[in-house]
Amino acid sequence: MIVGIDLGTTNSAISVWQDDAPQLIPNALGEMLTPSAVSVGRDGTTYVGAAALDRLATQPESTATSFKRYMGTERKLRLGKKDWRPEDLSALVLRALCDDAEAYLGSRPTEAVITVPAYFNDRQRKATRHAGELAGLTVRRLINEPTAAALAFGLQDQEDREPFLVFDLGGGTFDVSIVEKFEGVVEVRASAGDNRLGGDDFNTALAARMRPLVDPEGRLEKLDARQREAMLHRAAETARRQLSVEDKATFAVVIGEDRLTAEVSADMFEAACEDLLRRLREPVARALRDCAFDVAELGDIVLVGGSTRMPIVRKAITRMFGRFPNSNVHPDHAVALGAAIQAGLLSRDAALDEIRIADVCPFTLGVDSVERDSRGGMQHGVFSPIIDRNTPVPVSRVSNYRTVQDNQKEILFNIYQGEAREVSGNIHLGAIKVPVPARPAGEAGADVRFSYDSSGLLEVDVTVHETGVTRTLVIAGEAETLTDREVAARRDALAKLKFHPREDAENVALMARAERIYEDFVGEERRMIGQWITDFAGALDSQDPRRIAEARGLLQQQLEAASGNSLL
Amino acid sequence: MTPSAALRHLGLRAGADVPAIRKAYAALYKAMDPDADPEGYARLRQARDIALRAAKVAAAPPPQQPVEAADVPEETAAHPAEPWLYGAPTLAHPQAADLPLLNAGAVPHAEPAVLAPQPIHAPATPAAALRAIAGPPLIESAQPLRADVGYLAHPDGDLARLLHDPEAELGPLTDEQDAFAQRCLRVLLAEAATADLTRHARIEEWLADLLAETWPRSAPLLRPSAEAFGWENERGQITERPSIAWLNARLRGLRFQDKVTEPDHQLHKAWTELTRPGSATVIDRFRVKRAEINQLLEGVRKHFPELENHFPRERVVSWDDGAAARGQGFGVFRIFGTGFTFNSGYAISVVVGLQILMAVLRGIAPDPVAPPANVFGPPAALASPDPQFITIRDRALAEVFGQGTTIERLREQQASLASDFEDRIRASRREGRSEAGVMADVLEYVRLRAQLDGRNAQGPILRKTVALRLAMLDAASKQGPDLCMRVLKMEKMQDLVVPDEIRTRERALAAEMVEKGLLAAPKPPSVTSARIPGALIGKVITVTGLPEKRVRDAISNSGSPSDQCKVTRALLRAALDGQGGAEGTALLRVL
Repeated sequence: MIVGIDLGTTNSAISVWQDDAPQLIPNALGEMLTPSAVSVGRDGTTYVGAAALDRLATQPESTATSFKRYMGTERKLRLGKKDWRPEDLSALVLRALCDDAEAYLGSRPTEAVITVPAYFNDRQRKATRHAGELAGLTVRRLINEPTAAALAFGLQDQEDREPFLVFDLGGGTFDVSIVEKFEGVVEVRASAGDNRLGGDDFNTALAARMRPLVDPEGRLEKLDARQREAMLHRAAETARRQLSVEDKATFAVVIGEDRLTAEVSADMFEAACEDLLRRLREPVARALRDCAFDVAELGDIVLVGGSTRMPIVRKAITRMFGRFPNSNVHPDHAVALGAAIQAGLLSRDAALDEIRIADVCPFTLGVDSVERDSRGGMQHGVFSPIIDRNTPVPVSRVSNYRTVQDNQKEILFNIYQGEAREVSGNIHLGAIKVPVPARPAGEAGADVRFSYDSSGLLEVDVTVHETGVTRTLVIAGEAETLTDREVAARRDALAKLKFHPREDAENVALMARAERIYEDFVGEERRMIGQWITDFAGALDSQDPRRIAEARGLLQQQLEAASGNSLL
Repeated sequence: MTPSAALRHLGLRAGADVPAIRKAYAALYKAMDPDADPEGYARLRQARDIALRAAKVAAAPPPQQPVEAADVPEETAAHPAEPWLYGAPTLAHPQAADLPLLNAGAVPHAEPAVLAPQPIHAPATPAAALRAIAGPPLIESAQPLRADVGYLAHPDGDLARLLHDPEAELGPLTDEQDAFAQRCLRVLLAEAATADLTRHARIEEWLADLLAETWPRSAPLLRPSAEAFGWENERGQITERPSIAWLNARLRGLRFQDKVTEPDHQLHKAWTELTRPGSATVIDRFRVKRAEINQLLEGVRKHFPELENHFPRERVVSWDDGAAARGQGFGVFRIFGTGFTFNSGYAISVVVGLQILMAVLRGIAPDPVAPPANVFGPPAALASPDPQFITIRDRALAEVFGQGTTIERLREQQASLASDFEDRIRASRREGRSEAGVMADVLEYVRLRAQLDGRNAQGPILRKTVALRLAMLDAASKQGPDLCMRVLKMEKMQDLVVPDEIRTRERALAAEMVEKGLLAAPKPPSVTSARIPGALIGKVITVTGLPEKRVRDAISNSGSPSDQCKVTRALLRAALDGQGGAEGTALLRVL
């Protein structure tokens, strides 16, 4: 059984191809979306999902969210006393999703299709694949998120479609893909994106705008940085959600016994996000330019990703395309559903017999080279593209390079990905060295073949003309530098972490939520919520299922009444 | 791959329509495993794309006659009049009538200028200049009142008029003009921010063109524009648009200027010294280190040539003289110090596509004097096999494309060229030319086409094409300046004796272009004007050893044929050695 997994910045989801249709699998709380959050308790207990997200307010120093933004970097996040790599944290989310799938399907999934932002670079893809392995999954394929959404949208019916544009603004990344569907072939024509633009940035912009208004005395300055950031981020998130349904919202932070608030209007929010909204245009324009389509030729504009719910983003999209976007797909579910379709395709499900998906390589791949300038000098570090961006994949291309010095002994090819003319502006993926026979400059040379497969895995072959010597490099990044045993060791270490039993998930999540709401109140109300929490904890200690269920229902009602806003 | 080969690849017959092509493609795609055969997949995609393109062209209405199309100003052709087009007359610029009307397809002037100079600061392409003045309708005349920017009826036209300065006599904007220009700009940027993508792109392009064309008067508007459109994000990208690249370079110059005018900048003293009026005194020379002056001048010339505007020429020359007096090598100053009189800006703009244009007109466009095309005889496919014709044709093929080229192969690879090739042979024979004469005619024909198409090609082909032209000019100059002039204008070149080595290169290039499908029916050149950077002029002066005035005359298409020949060759050589980039490429395309 292959499952499809949308491993998002904010939320993740797992799905499966079943009964001729893609199905989402609910988590232990009965929800389709699991927050991509991990928190570690003082006793070493690990929380994943909703409970972990709520603990961000109460235990910011031991909770991580949005770690997808650091995938493919060496950055480590400190939770409690331990440093975690973004892959490890992602692996914990993946494992929690697999637990849900196991409970739902009756057997544990072993293979998966995982989605990645189209504009994820090679390193970020490798890190994602690696996270899957750490979670005990064989990653059968990485599929681009907008491509997955296009599959879900395109397969809603049997008809051919005019070229449509998938506008995927998630929590941390932004992708645009232009897709055609005909004769059952869903074909991506061009993708572009910004892997550093998402809902989180709108929170940051809003928080930066509101901070002087809500805290003119600078009291936040005295707080611990991580706590302050968590607080501002959450206040922004809450206000932003409120602004999705109303014209005004309250931006609130609680410092000690004081609750500081300021009102924010939709216009203020829009002004604060002006730069971000402007950055949405660029990838769209680039994708259109790359496939030589005009806005007028596009059929639907398909919105994907939770951040497309923001009215200011919808307004910007409507302006950009001069029409209203299509709301036929569920912005939070489309990617996971598409992943399930890809899983069905890989297991050659008969219902998908006539369906094919064709994607592109969204970025340029090449090597560094030397050019002679007008003064006869050498200019080093010039990027020489071998696979141009938006080339259909799989693809295999050869380029020819010659020596630049007399009696040069070897050629070193540094492999890069990116769009800058100078390699220094691009991402280094690896290097490969070949010996060449000693000849005058330019008389020895090598063919460099780049092969890029459907999953986005790059293989480089270098063949020396004169000797026929061939070297091959599979750019596997960090994952390859670890031996199988090391991977197994890390997997075991993650497996040994303590978790609450699955049947406790609801109670754990509710307790975390109550504690988070406690932080939002001051004075008498706070003391009251504290009392409710004590009561619920007492019920949990009794281990009497009936009493626990009753207390849980009561606490839920109380919390909803207190916050007066289901959005909290 | 030709369209017919593409259709064969898809298992279709000629005339297949778009749905049929898609269906055939989908069936073949589903039957294969692209991961196992990526090259097969690439071929299939290519066949599909070529077949689709051909089918779409076939389905589209027939194109207009080239000459008619050329008469229509570019802008109107690309963007049909929109309902809210506001009155162009109100925008008519007093200077507009004086600007030479040289749009891409126009019949050239009676005296075809080899290198027609443009007035200082004039736009690179006059057509574009008129566009900037007459302006595309960027802003509706019924622009609603904006509280933040105030009401402006025609911010685009007003801005263009304000910035335009074809005679280069106005200098920088006054404070008042600047305030007004900034207001116009704010309206335009506000409009762009809320416009749809198409319109946003139009405003962006229009503004980029205007700023580039009216530089340096437009300098105060560059920063806000670049910020609004995110131009700097594009900097250094492979796909950086040429106009944006040019503006980004100016932007870096402005940044440098900001820094160097701060007292703590290490070259601040040198900057202050060089920006003073009058000659440097002995005391001045003691006050500032020569090395710093040197470093600043070299840096400015290399990276931000336009900043040299800030240095009065007299000042620069006085430092130069001081150096010469001490016997130090400051030759570079002399060249630039005087070369500077070319203009007060960073480069000169030239329109040098004319001789190419002539060739287009002679080669393809219906020539009013030439007999109509059907006089050439029946179409190639219907021609009765004439053994003598076939012999000559096959020899000509070998002569032009190298041994082993057959007409069948040529038809397969470049059908239109094959039929034109045969038509030329027939026409020459009908004129009673000898076999050698026929060979010369057909060779010249292909040579013209290769030169034209090579200019529209990319990278290596473009360079090879230009290098070949240079080689031919070199060969011609050995046979006298008059022949060199004829080769320059690409007419009556039959007398030219081309050395075997160059012929071999020419043959190889022709074969390569056929192989790549580049020798299609020639189109008017994609670029008809380019800027010649000051550094190149300097090189030309050094290489030719001619005084600056004669170089300038030669570039202006006056002066003796021998000078023109020398200067053009030196310029070609310098351009070929140049660093490339968008500007270098544009220059190669026009020279």
